Amino acid sequence: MLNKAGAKIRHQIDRCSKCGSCRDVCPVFGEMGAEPWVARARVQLLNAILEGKAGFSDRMAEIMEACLLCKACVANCPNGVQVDVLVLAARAEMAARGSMSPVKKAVLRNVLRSGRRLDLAARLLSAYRSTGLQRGVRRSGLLGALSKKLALKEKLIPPVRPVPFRQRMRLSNPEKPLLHVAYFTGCMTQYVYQETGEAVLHVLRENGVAVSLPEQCCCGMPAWAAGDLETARELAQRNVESFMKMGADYIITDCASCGEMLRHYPEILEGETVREFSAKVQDISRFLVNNTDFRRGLGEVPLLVTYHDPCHLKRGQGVCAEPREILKSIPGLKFLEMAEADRCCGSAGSFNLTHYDLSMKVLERKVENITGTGAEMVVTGCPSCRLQIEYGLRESGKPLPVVHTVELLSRAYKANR
Amino acid sequence: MDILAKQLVNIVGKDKVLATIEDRICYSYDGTFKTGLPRVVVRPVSTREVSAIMKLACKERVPVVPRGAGTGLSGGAVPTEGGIVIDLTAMNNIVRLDNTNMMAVVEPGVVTAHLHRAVEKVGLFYPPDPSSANISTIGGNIAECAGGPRGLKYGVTRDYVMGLEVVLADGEVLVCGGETVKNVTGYDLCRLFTGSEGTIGVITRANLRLIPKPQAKKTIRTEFKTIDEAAETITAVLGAGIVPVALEIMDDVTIRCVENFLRIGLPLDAAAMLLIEADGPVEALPAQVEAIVAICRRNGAARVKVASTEAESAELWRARKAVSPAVVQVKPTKISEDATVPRSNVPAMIRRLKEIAAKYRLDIAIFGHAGDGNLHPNILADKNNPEEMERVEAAIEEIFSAALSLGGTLSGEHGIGILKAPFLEKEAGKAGMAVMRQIKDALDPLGILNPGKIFGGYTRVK
Repeated sequence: MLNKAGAKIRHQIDRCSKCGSCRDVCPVFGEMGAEPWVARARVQLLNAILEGKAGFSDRMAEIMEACLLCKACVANCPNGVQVDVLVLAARAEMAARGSMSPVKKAVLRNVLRSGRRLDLAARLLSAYRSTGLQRGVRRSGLLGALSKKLALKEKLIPPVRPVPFRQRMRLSNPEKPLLHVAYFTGCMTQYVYQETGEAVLHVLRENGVAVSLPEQCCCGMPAWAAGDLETARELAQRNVESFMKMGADYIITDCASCGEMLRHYPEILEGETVREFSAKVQDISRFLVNNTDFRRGLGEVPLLVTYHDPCHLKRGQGVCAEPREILKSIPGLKFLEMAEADRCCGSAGSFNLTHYDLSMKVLERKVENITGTGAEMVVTGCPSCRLQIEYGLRESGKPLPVVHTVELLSRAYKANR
Repeated sequence: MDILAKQLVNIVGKDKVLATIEDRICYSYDGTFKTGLPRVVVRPVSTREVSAIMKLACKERVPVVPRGAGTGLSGGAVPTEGGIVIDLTAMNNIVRLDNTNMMAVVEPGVVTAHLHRAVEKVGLFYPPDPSSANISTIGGNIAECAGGPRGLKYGVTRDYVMGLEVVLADGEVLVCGGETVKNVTGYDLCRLFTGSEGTIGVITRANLRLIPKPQAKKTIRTEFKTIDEAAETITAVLGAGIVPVALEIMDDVTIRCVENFLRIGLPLDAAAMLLIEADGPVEALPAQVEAIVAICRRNGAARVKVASTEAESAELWRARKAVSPAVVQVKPTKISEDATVPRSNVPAMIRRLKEIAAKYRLDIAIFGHAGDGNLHPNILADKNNPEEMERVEAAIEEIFSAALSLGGTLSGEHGIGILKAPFLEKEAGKAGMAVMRQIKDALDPLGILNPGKIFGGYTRVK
């Protein structure tokens, strides 16, 4: 597999001048401190593999897996080396050699591929909370007795809703829409942060945009990031087929990671349709700024807010001015820029479960930067970041609310009534 | 586990010893294209641990390579003869910031830019600013005697080292210099260890001299039709009693690379661009800037831009800072030299570099710190093209000869390491080599400290 992608990978490795600029920005290296945990080292390790000087050992897997794929190194690299692409190539090779953990494999292969099983998993998680089982488990100290870390990780379980978003929502589209978008809700809006989805629909309606909610499955990011290309391709194929039937002007997302994945489909699938699909994908904030007159009819929202740049939004899709533009246009809202707003929060999908301690150290710095602003609310454009930041704020005893950009916009429209 | 690794674990504990092949590969390189695989890597956190590691290395007759962030450009941190790499980045405390004595006591692993920020917060200033400052460590800066653009006005690392704690080859801990600006007690050992490239001791603590932070700074960018006009401007500015903080030059090849990369409207017909930065008290600065602008105009500058805000200044610097990414767009391998000449010979050196580029059919982008004669001719090549690399080797040798014949030196700020070791004698001479070797032998009789560096060749551990 590495050989198939050979020329491209070779080219990226050759571009690395080993200057070490990545040491300045890598959040994982910032916490670990030793060279193996920085981008430059991962590039050189991959080089060693290609030259036959190293293999796919457990240590190699450990090093390649401890990357957030946050692209901070890519953005800071004087030679533009796409380290994330190299890490993904290494992971794909390792997955192909069967070195993925069995639990991860089972989740990727069996749950992500099936909407029904995802629904079921969500219902189980939701029941775990609502039946009082969660409270019981927490009070019993059972998990803590098994492992302290397990008890901590348990608190990362998202507040799952019993009924999925797309099953619950009825669309009421404007009679003469200006534009038509197909909405990729992502699993987090589908099962957890449904208020984001409601806000997306509301904001679009306010702006005269018609919405459809096509059949869809997981975007494939968890599989892609783990190196499971087969699963990622299958999911991508299904999404492309379903969405391209709609004939929408744009495909919008409220999730930075889904958006990034959808835009990368042409890298894992061939064909003109796939390229057309990806070209239509836009993050909701960019769509609003570029295609609508979203400033009309905004009421006051007197809040002090700060904004966290999701890696997959800023460095993945170049979206960082748009959310700020939206926030700053809301009357009464005071925007406070935090230090290192674009530094990764440490979530990185399931990284916070597989690398709990490291993820928490990265998160600690984010929490400090947030609380340093004096803001009373955190805004972001990615539900994974939201879950992670909510957890970090809660655990540090400063439980500020965390919302998606469109939720504040929706609030501003409502405030105008 | 390797027996040596086991012995190191006994000294520092398991977590601080890295011995897998993967870990060793991660310590096999620095900022050059040279590599060498260490036998084991250790990350001590105290002088006591470093001392114990050296004692072990002595006993076992194993080479030791001290390492900071691994950003060096002469191969100083590459373990070409294997052995133990001591990664000193875990010793990264700023031990004391002393406002009264204007001094910082630091461990070697402190990142240069972190020190900059810490001292500037209290109104002080640590001038040395190698371009890797965001990553490089103070220990590495001292070992290589790092410079940077601000060297013109403020000097280089050695001018700020007041005292050192060094672990010697046999594990003894030596303290030299002290906490005073004036100190003539005995030989100046601080200066000996500064720039010694890890060949005679491991620096474990430093007292750094600080100065008051300049109140304000201003940036000027200007273009010339000929190199000579640019050179005359440099001489005229300094001759007028003005010492800018930085006086950077970019030649026509560099300008074209940057313009192709950034598209910011740089003049493609200019032979040279100068970037001049002045600093000082708020009241005195405008007069200084006016004088510089007048000198530029008098010497034929086509356009003179003066930044009045921090943002405008950053915009003017953008072209200079983009040089590295811009030149690698042309060819993937960039060999950065730092041969330095007296500033009066900068135009002559640039002419020689252009001749060498033409002779060997190579792209050479010339830029650098023209104010102090520290040019960075960057040879652009492809390391996968052996025929081209042969021409590069020949060109490098000729660049060194050119610098020496113009009264200059092989290296202004990168150090000798392994890359320039074959040429050292050309500059140092027989007597110079003999003295340096005697110093090395006296302080490292077993030859275990960073073997092969500075002196070159395979120096077998005795």
